[in-house]
Amino acid sequence: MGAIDIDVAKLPQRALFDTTIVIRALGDRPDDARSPACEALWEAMLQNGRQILIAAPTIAEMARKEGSRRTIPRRRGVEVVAFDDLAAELLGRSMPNSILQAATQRAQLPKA
Amino acid sequence: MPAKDSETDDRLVVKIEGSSPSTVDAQAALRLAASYLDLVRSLADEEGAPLRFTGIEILNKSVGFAFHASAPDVAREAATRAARYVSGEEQPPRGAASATRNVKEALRHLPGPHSARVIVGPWSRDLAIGPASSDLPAESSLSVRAKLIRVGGTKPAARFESASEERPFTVNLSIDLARKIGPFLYRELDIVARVHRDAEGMIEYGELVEFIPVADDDATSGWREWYRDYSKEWDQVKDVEAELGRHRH
Repeated sequence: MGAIDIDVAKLPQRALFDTTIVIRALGDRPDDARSPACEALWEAMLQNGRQILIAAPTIAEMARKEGSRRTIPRRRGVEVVAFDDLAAELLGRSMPNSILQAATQRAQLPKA
Repeated sequence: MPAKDSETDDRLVVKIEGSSPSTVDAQAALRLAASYLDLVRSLADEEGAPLRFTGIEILNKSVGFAFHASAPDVAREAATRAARYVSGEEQPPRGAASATRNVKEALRHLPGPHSARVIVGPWSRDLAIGPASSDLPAESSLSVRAKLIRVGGTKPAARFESASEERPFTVNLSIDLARKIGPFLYRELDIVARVHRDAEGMIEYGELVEFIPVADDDATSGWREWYRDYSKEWDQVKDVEAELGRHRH
């Protein structure tokens, strides 16, 4: 993880982490080349007083286990946010398909 | 008030209709007039056209106030825009959003069937809040992290500030909840409340349902501990992105 250099000046005050980022930040997929960056971003956010947001649907995706009753941690710096109707409408307006496609191309993300 | 030719009248008039001078809620009437003048002035300032109001006339046989405008044309233009913003026909500019909210609050404090009308020379129109935006639910559930900044009162209420809300907000709560939440003053909490929002999305009032204290303990260790139990399930998944449908065509 030492090779990952996070520019603190560019860290946002608050950032919503996707499931794919959170599980790698929490130590899953240690052999994945992307995992160190996820862990470094998570730690940089917390160590610099930034707020990590995790959408409630991400909790559902992560916590897929029959019979488990673990309660969500309530810790400073990491907040689980509801995905309600207001969030859904705002997301739809702010992230139309054209913007998502452009971001995918810019980031050179793999396509199935 | 002596009669004036409306074309040359340089006054801005705020009238409260449906009430009489002897019974009107004085504070509500004055609050409306003051907040409306504030909004009109702020809109004029934004256009680079300074505007001053001087003198107060009390209208005869009705509840209303007249103020002399230093620039009647500017006042008429700003008053027109102000009424549109209050009615919700147009969104106010960022600099006038707070003043617009204050006028709406003042209108809501007018008792019963009372309404207001604003007049500048020959121009006049009702000053009224439009129907609530259909974009926003009248009542909704709020689940958010917030800092408790005040709690108490004979009718218990708790005031919070949250990075997720533009302004601090107040919600009612039961005496039992008030006792429980009291020790957490100036602490972060995860709260659940039923709230009512105005047309701009600001929380007007609500009811606290429950709260969960937020610990200052290390977040990473807490979340890793929580996830450890689930990670075994994910170990069986070869391609995380494919499993979650994150690949885009």
